[in-house]
Amino acid sequence: MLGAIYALTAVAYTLVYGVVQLVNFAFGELFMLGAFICISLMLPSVLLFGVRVTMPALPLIMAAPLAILFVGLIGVLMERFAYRPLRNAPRLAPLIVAIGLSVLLQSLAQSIWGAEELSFPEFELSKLPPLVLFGSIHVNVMEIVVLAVAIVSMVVLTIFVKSTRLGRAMRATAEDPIAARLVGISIDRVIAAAFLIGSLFAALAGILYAQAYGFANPTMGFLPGFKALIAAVLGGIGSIPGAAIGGMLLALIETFGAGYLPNGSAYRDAFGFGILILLLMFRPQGLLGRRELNEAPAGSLVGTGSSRQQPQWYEDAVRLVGSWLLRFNPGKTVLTLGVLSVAVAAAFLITSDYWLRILIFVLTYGLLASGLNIVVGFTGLLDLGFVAFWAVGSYLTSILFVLVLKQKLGIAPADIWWLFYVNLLLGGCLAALLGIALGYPTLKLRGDYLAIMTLGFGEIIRITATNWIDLTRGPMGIRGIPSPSLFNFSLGQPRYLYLVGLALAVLIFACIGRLVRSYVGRAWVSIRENESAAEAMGVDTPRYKLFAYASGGFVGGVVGVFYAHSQQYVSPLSFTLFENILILMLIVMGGLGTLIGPFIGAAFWIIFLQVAQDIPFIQSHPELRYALLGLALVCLMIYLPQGVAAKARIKLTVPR
Amino acid sequence: MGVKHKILGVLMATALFCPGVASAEEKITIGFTAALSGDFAAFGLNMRKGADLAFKRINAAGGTQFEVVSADDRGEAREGVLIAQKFCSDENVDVVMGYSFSSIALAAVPVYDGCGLPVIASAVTSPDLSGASKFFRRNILTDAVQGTMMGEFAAKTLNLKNVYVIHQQDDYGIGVASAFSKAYEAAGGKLAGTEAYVLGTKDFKTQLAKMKATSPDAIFIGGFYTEAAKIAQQGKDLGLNVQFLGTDGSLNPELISLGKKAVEGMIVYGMFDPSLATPESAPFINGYKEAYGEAPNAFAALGYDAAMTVAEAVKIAGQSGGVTRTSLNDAFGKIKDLPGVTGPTTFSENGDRSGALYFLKVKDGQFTLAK
Repeated sequence: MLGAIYALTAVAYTLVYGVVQLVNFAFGELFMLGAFICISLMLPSVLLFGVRVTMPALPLIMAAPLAILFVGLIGVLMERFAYRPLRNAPRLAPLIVAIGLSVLLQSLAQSIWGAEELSFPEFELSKLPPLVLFGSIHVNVMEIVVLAVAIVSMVVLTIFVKSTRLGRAMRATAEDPIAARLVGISIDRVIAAAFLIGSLFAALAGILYAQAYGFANPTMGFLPGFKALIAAVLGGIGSIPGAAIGGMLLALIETFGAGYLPNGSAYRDAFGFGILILLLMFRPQGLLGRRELNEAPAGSLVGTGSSRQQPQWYEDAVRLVGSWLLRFNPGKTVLTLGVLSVAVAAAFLITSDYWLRILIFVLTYGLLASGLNIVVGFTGLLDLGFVAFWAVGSYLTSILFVLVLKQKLGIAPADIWWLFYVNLLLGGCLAALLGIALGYPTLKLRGDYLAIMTLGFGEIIRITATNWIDLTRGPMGIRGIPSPSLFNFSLGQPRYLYLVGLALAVLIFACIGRLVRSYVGRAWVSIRENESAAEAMGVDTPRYKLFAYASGGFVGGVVGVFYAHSQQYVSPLSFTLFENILILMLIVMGGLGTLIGPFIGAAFWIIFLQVAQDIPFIQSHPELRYALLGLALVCLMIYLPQGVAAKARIKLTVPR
Repeated sequence: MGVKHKILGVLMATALFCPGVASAEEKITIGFTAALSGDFAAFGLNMRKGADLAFKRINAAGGTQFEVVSADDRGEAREGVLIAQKFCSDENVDVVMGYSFSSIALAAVPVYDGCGLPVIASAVTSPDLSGASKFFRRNILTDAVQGTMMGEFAAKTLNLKNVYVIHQQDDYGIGVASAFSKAYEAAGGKLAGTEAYVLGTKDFKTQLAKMKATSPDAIFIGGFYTEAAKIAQQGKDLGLNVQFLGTDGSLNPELISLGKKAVEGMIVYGMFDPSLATPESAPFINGYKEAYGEAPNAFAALGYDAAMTVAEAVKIAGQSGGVTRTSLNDAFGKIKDLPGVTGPTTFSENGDRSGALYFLKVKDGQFTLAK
């Protein structure tokens, strides 16, 4: 039954992906909205914005179609206003918009329906006693209904795509949008239709899910939405029967793994990822996918074209800011030194420890994003598992200092203060090795398949850190990590921590800067721009890809060690899937393939969230802080799809 | 609006230029932080509703005025550290309340240590926090204490012989399940087995089928009401008619509205009994229903009591000189058996509270005191 729900949502992903090559993360939230709206329509009255509103109390059979249609409308509006302006933007811009929309919808749902779960009202069919088959298997009537609804809707969709005019137009667009336009197909209409159908399916899945588990809450869409995406990839993205099979398969693996393996339930989320990785290693296009989809469009990650005509003043402003930012490249020694002295002076001029702490986080996240930028921004490999390297560095130093030295051997951290500096290197090297180990099986993959596979690795490492309690103390985390010190001088004050972070940042910044301008950097950029051409020109692409993973991993590991010592506490909570997406978002916001971009992105994100805490209406409606953030992300991407510092991108390509 | 701001600005400027002049009405600022959005926002919001109600009453009574500044940590360690530093750096903040996640409190403790800001938390139960800092206290019993009490209750009072334990895989679930198992076995009970699940799991059918095979007389669920309701419901669907036991995470009216008939007869424990109107709790329960149109749960009660504790500490600190972070911290240590809706409050040396536990049974869709 879970399989049917995954499958329906997977169809939504696959359909939209097939037509516009976009992973619309917001389907998870449409899923949630479907459930909420349906429940609200079924209740006699419901609290909206804390006010009791009388509702029609419709039966499920009427409430569900209404809710589904309403969500479909939201889906179409979303496409029209958020995605259409980005039709020709670099591929990651719509992805960030999708995340922004998803955060926005989730926060709004909390504003409207509150944070408590809304329970699903009882209805005729749910009251029937379960059927007993063969004396021991209990099946609910509703489970059969769910399965039937899923099969019928999928069959209808298949027929629709196969034999109606619009369905044929959809397939033609998926095949080749330019050719489709040439033969007179209205691309806009086809895309809107794909979004409409996708949203309908997501809403249907949400309603079925909510009735099966008896509730709806604002964050219910995230995990099933994500699982559905995996299911879509498993089945071969772009293929409707593939999505159905992928959904069923994933649910089966999870359920049986959780039930029958020792301690399986704790690891259940890892099974799906494990199977996915194995499958993609041997069959990179998914179960029923077509081979050519893995041959990702060349150079599309960064893109060059501006998506739409902007007013002249706007273009000028962007160019001015851009050219100003360009000077921050390490080539311009004077300006770099100037910025550096400002950053150092900040340590002594800022008296508020709070702001210093904020700056430490900006540096930490800026550095993490710089590490990921090597892989994504320079080499063009969409990596969603970066958090793993960060975690490895953090855990290495924490386990060594606290669990081994302090607790097992009884050595006081103060006596071995120098180990922190050794660990910086050690953590980096370990993470780099991990980078190579994880990078190796992904060499055959391109584009979004690669992204999903790396994401699988990241999640498996986090789930292991959560459950391998003997090694990591699991969710309890490790506390009492000493703050860095120099001989007997503690560097634990925010001011000194900031300086340590700054020193690290300068070193890493300089190294990346040199690396990118060397032969290696050129090789990376050639892979980003056109992997096949790079190979044809004699670039040893596997070698340079692995090198990119290793360098990115190294940076992640080093930052992890610093992070553990500056926080003095680590737990798996810091290394979630969302952090992964967040770090990627920072580089896209700041500008892919730029040196300064990750820091600009980090500064925007962290300072925005902190400043927003103090806005009076956020005090009374805390969830609106993320709604604002989501809105800001969407606007930023629509107006600056290349990122804030795009003009500072290091010119290693010949203008076309 | 603009005029109002200007007046406020003038007032603030005056205040800045006249330091040391004690105003007739002292003002205490409380920094409140918890997860107020995202997953599990309900716990934090309930705590805040309870605290807001308490402060509204205290302020209406005159005397020292209390003001709450809140910050949402969204359940992220990164935000937790920044918020702790923000409160530390803001000289107006005298004391901090809240916290929904133990791991966030653990990440924040080193920061509070650095600036000597006292914290009184209401929903974090990790044993790791005991004695973590001399500035950190909580008015909720730890998982270890609560789980032990439940284990003894199950073996001795309920006379259960064979209990299957299922818990959520995090610090809370592991802590209470292991304390329960240890105490239950020590009191002569036999464990049928242990299962774990990840927070947010929806489908327990395979695990329940496995449990059914061992035919236990009871299932102990170490987790929150959302999952507990589903376990009970799916268990009943599978024909598993056993005694369900829960924790304080399940003591929530939502358990009954989600679990419906399946949770009838389930026994949970908690520090607050919404059905039991004592002289202390009656005005709280009625006032809460009046203010928010819903019945209070344990977190609202703990938030309310924490606010009352803060008011008491301010009173004690005021008697022996000025109210500063240090004097407040000392005052918390001096509080003795302060009556509250969750029973009397006294803090031990390591910041924990000693207190009693109520065992409650779901009867006719209501929590009632279990014998």
